[in-house]
Amino acid sequence: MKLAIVLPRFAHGVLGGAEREFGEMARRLRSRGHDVTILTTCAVDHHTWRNELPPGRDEVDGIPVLRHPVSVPQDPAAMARIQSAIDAGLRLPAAWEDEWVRNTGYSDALMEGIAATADRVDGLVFAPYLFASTVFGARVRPERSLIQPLLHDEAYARFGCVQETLRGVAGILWNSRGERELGERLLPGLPPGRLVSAGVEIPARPPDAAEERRRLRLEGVVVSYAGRREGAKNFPLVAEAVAAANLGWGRPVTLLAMGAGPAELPATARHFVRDLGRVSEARKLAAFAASTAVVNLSTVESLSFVVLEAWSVGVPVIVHADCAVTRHHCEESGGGLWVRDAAEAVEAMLRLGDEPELRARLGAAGRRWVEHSASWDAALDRLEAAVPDLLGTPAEAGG
Amino acid sequence: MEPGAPAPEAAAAGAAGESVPDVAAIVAELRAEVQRKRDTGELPAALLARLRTEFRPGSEWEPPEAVMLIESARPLRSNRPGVGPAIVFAKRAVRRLLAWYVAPIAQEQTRFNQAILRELRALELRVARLEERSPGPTDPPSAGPPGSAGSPEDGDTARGGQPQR
Repeated sequence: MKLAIVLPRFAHGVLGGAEREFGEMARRLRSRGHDVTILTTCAVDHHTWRNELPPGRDEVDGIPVLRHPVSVPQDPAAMARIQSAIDAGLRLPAAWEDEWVRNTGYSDALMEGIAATADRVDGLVFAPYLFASTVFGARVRPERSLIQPLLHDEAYARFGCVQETLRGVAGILWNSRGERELGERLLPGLPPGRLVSAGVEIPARPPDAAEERRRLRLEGVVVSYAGRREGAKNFPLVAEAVAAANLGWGRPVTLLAMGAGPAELPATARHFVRDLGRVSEARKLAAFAASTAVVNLSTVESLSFVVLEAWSVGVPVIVHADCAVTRHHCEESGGGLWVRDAAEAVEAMLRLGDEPELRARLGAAGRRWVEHSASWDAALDRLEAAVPDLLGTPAEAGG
Repeated sequence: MEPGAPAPEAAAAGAAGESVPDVAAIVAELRAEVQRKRDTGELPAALLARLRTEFRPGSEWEPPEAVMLIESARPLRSNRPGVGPAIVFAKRAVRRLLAWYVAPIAQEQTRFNQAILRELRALELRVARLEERSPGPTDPPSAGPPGSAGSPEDGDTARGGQPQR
């Protein structure tokens, strides 16, 4: 199978979930004998969309990459004006929605690149849904295009231009059942879709949880958080619950916070939060294994690698009841609990801490689910079946 | 077992074919426990309220009246050591120089905000009176066919946008 994956950015140092997912997918597809190229822009920073890398051919971790210069430099004043209207919940004129998307790294050269590539590959896969490379790129040859949207329940998903693109392509590749349900609810009339998802690796050698607890000098109930430590991901609610457990319930609970940048929190939380900063994948999994639970209270997820990684080491998760995707994962797997507020989060943390047998049962259920439903092998099998199915092309490896 | 004991062992202990734990039932128990504590006053409600404000300022919707007044004179400060007082002095001078231009705009915006709020509250009263007169189903009417204003399917960001998260 010959595939072109179109991403807004793809380079070393770009650490978004989409880039990580598609980089891994491309690498693994190539190792199965498929011919995969990534078409992208010369931008690295999604705040400025400046052309920082040279245009033309490149290679990232053995994956061929074709870069194209961004032709619409970001207009910060326009973005601030439009964003404030979005944040206020206003209905935007179509021209503003269009302008917002064009300000996310629109590239004329990429559009030309997509047109030139479309007939030379079996299919074009675009992701994520809200960037110019997808919204305008997938309109170049919609009949040859599939979108893996990584959809969130947010204002951008309701933009007219976004909906028009999503409805016009040959098919949708969903990352999770929860995402598909959300998509069908928000955007009726979508083209056919297939559940593809992404995968995580079950560690060949399980992390030594007891050793990690000794190394970090952890005692009692410990919960872990990994990812962007910001309001958009509901990180303050996690810290708030941990502070409440300590101050209101009188139970010592420690939060291991991992991720780039400082975890800016009120002084109240600092006694209970261990900021590990950016850690290696191995350290992260070891911290997860040493934890009572991994907490992800974000309400905007299309898959959540963190949840899958927690289960890959047999640790239960606590997620937000309002996040259809992660809650669906938990309902289906039995590997986690969902909460609505800080008080419920405290009760969930303490229950898992007080009942190790329950914790082990939930963690084991999550791990079984990952082995069965969220391994890379299973995800690639599904993708290999979905692409020819939706585009009507043969799927032989090495094509 | 310790809470942090090696979980993969636990996973191995859970043999294949084991049933999926009834997590919905556990969630229901947790909610019931929180409700019980809330009813009996065991829940530290004041602390939870304080923490919510501290950790997530603005998470509760403020009434629009709280931000109705637009002030043209913002508090001036500088965190730069040494030159801070000079910077504050310069900012104060610029503020004074531009006051003739900025202050009327702020006043005009405040008048507009007040007018809009007056109309909004009057509408609120009228709706309440209408609802009192004709008690019926409490559910709001449906959003209307696709394409109508406010329908979540038609690209409307007004109701379905970020505030719904």
